[in-house]
Amino acid sequence: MIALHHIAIKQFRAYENIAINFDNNTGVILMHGDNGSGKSTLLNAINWCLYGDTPFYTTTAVTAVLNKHAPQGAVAEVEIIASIEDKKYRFYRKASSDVAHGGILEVSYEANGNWSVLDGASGNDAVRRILPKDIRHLFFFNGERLKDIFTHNNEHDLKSSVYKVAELNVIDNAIDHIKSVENFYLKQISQVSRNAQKIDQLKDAKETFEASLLGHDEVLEDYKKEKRDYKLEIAELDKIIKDTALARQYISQRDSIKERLGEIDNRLQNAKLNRIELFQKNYHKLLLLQNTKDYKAELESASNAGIIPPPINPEVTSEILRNGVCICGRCIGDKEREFIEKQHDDYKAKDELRFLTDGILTFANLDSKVRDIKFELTDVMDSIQDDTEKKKDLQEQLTKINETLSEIDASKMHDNPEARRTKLENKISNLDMLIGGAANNKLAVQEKLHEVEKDLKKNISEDRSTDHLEQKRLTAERLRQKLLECKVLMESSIRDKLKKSVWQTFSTILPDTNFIEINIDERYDITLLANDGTIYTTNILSVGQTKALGLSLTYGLSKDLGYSEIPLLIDNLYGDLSESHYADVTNIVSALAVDKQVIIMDLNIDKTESLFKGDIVSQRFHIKRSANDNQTVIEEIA
Amino acid sequence: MISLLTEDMSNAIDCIDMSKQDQEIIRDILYQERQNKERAWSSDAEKYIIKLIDDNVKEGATE
Repeated sequence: MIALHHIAIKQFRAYENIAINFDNNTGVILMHGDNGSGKSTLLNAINWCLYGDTPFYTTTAVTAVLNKHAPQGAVAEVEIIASIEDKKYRFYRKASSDVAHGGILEVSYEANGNWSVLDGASGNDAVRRILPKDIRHLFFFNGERLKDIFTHNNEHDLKSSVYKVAELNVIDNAIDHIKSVENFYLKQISQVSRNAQKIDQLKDAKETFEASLLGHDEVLEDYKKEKRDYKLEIAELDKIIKDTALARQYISQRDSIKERLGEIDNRLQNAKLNRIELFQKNYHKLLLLQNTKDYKAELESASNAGIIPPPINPEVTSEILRNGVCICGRCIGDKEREFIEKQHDDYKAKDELRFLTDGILTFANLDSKVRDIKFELTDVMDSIQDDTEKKKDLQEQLTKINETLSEIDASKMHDNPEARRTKLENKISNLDMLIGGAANNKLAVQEKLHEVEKDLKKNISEDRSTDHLEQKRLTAERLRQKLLECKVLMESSIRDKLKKSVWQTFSTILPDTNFIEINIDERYDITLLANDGTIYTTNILSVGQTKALGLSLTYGLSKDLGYSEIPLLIDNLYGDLSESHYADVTNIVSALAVDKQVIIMDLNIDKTESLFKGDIVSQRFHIKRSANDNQTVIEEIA
Repeated sequence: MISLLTEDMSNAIDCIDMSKQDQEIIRDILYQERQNKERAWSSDAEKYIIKLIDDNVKEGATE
């Protein structure tokens, strides 16, 4: 049971300082007052105390709550003491001119005769237990706005009210949130799938780059091989150039040596001829000389021994010497020998001495002559010997040169090796440029490959199976479906309860009609079918019937959905109602007041009180302006 | 204190054919939704639900 016990208001709008007490937990409390007396302000004060707003005013300025006649520094204050179950709570809110419109709420509860202040969260929880803010329009309302419940697209229409009271909007929110979670998993699955695709693409790219790299390597290798070949050829050309120069040098040397050899040969040939000629010419002289020398030695030896040698005819000897005829036994003919031997005896005695003298002189001349010849021969022989040695040296040199020349491969000789070399160097230079370009291309490909490998590594590290995610998504989907089923079940149950209320109300306000079917559609439009085929909707209802139905639904919602204990605070219940419907509305209110407090504020208390039967009305109050007309006062009527 | 769920919610969850695990998750989610309905908490709600489902799938995987 929830009941209001005490309301105190200070400096709130037209209320300077009032306090009222409600004695009972159930029954009708009637409060009447003229237009502008402060009925709506009382409703606002109660709303403001609990929720910090004033829904029955259009402004939210702080001046909307502070009494305009309040002294400087005064604060607006509202205090409500209510019981929830068997515990009393005090709700107190105050606001000065320098704080916001909402002011500050303080909630306390009574324990052992003392008030203990609750923390903010517990205080708000206590407010929720009195009446949740989002459904307060079903309990604290202006009777003239009851028709709003049948007008679509406002926060007080039937569907919105049902959703708020039954908390179907909580389920809707949960469904929306789970749907977002499903989308989250879908995105993750998509991302993982995209990642897998990306991995495939990156693998393809990697293969392409690797193949490209191999291609570049082959091209580079070809270029390098070509360059190596050219370099080898250049090295060969360099050798050829060197060999050619050397060969030319050797050939020149060879020609020179050959020329010198020819000269030496000529000279030798002449020398040999000279020697032969000289020898031939002087042979007999030399032989004679030799014999003569022997003879002289013999003479000198005989002379020394005292023996007289056989004489030689000096004339003959001279003749022989002159003519160069040899006097030796070998080359002298027999006649000549005979002649010489015969003469020898004749001259032996006579001219022995002169002969010796002559002989010595002759010998002296001969020696000189022989020496000259020998010198001449010696010169010739020396010349021949020199030339022969020179020839030998030159021939040795020639042999060596020929050997060297034979080692040079004449077939490799190039017509113009220098030109070919220059051409090859140009080719190498071009190749170097190509190699540089190819190396740069290879480097670019390597960089791309590196990037791809890096991306691939990153993507592979992020790669995972979608199975787990799909399982989670399916779980979310399943939960959402189950929540939808819950919502359908709850809504169906609520519709059934509403149908019962509507059926009862329509039967009450249209007692002559026999209804056979009732329907509440998706928009919560109500349709009833009568047994005569007439279709009744809320559109055909009068203001009073609408109000009665609205109250009935409010009652149904509050009772069937667990809010039956919350008090009703209704302003202008009869305001726009024709008297013919007073009874209908009063009956419904009376029924509600059996279980709870129903505070009704209206213009004429006499008119309304007469409608309530028995002792359902527990208290009566009069709201009025004070004597100076500045302040509102509330007086309880006995 | 506010009750965990409304009676109708509890009844509906009991009546729907689903596993105990799903029932627990739904109760948990609805309780949080009720607790936080007066504030903007969509982002937190999604994180909360994701954690519940992640834990649930992990548990399911290890069973």
